[in-house]
Amino acid sequence: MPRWDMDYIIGLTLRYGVIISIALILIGIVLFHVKGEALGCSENLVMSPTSPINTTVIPPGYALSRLPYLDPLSFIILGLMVLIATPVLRVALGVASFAMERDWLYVLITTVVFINLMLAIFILPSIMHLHANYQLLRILCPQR
Amino acid sequence: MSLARVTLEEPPSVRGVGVNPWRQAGTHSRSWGWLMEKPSRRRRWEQTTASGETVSTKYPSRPPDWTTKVFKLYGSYYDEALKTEVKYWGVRWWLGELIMFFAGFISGLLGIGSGALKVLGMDWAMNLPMKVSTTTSNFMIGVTAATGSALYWYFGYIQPMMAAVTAIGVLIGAMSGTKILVRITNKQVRWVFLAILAFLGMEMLLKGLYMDHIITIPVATQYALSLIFTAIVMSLLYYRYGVLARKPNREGVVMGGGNA
Repeated sequence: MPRWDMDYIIGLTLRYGVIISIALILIGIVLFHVKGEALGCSENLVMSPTSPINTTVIPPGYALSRLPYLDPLSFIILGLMVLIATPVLRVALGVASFAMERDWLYVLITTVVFINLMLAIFILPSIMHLHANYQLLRILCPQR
Repeated sequence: MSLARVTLEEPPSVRGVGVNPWRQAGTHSRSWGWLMEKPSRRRRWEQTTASGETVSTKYPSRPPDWTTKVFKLYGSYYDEALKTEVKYWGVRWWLGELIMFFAGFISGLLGIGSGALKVLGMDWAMNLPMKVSTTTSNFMIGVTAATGSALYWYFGYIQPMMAAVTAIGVLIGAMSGTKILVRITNKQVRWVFLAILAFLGMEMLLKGLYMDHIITIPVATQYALSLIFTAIVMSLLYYRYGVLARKPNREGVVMGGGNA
């Protein structure tokens, strides 16, 4: 029986983050092969190496709202988000872990890393006015 | 000849009993010799330590410096290959930081895995064991990649289907690689690392020349050439530092044991 200390919890987080993300991506790929379309786009359009269907035309919120309709790309995008979020969560847990050890120098360093991550993921794209172009997606893949 | 050089560098009287062996050991790790120590250099090093205290690690190790103490860069891991607990510490945090800065810069610029530079920074500059360097670099890539991912996301560099297929392959590879890593020695990891560096170096050189239209070799041939280059370099290195170094020298000491 392993000890339930912070190191173990961090290890579990990393491992299950990756496993969940693989599972979601695999579900997405299987669904894609079953349905043959994703977010209204045809199989050929999505699978082409020069496909215009990339993250600039898929608003994350829209993709996630299509989850209940078992949309393949929604699952894949959720999987990729979980994959990106895993190390971020680990850094957050790292702050907690160092705080529990009362290692204030490392709490400071890890907090700086965490703030950097938040800046890069949430603040910077909105400062630069980067938005996914939903209209372009509808032009490329007209909804049936 | 090597003996003459030793006398030039340091008077023999300095290398007596009571002199800190770490300090002497550290004198050789300033150069690139750490990568694959020449047998002659290794012999010199072993002679110097033989006069002082016995040191278990065979490659030049540095004493903990102030950064080790301030940042508490002490650690230990259980080495599956050696069946022992290995204690280690990091030194020269500032040099590691500098190399990491360039690693991040180059990675953002060229999109190549900066792992190669990170491992160099940790293995050479911070004097960490190879296994610690590789695993830490692997972990760091997760954090640095997450930093860039949101911008890549909105710039549209992520094609969901491509990313999905790639992610599965990478994750399977990473998981199996980790399983193997804990079973092999640091020295073996370093050999693999050298081979990958040789391949990537040649491949990127050819690719760069190709993109500037200086050479017009097809991409498949570029990979083949890089593979051949790697094979030649690695067999030369293996002959020089693997086969020759393993032969017992006059004193009967087996060389090239390395920092397992």
